[in-house]
Amino acid sequence: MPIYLSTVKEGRTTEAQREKVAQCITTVHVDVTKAPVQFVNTFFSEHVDQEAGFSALPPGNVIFINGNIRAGRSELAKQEMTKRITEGVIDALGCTAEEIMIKFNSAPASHGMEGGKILPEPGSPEEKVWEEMGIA
Amino acid sequence: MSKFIATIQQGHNADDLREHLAKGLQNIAIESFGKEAANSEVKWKVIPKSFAWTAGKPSRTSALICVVPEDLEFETRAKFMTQINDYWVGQTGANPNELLIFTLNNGY
Repeated sequence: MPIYLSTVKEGRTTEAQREKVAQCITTVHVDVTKAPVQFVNTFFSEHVDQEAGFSALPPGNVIFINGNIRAGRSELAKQEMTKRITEGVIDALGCTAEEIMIKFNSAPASHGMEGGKILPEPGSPEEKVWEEMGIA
Repeated sequence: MSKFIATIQQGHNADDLREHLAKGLQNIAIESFGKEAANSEVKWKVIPKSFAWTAGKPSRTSALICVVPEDLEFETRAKFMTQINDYWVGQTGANPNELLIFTLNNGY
């Protein structure tokens, strides 16, 4: 975690564009939250699948990014990520800000596991150890 | 009743083992939550190549959402996720870093 699940308009994006969006999301998320880079996932789908987390595109949108993150991130952090990811998506896809939807969904860290370990709460002593996993 | 939503990468080992993995996940659900979990279902979402990245590189990560009974105690939830992790990693040969497990309370 995080896992960014993005619905994109069918046929609208190339592999290179999706890669650029994924790299932007990864850079921004790690910069802002200090999460280990190896746990930043960005998946795309051209098909709506609400159960799997891929939301329907609002009319006129080319991408809907659902950012699934641990609860406890500040509103300021989410605002900064939204702003920087929007800029990166505009650059990658050549679209306008109005064609981009970004939503953050927060979930309790204790409900998730990655690397065989329960996710640490943001700000906890365990998180320091977890963050250092990204440096190795 | 439990439910699993497994998002996996096309061509990854998990893609070839879907039926086998589904049976194993169901068995863990029954062991954890009793006979009511016998009708647990696994829904698969397969991500095509060039549609998934982890750390900015092509991804091998599977994401497993598990719908579980509400009000699970931390220990029960943690034990359930550990069993799922050990089973999945053992069967697919995946690195533990390539599996994200998340539990959602029933009725979410």
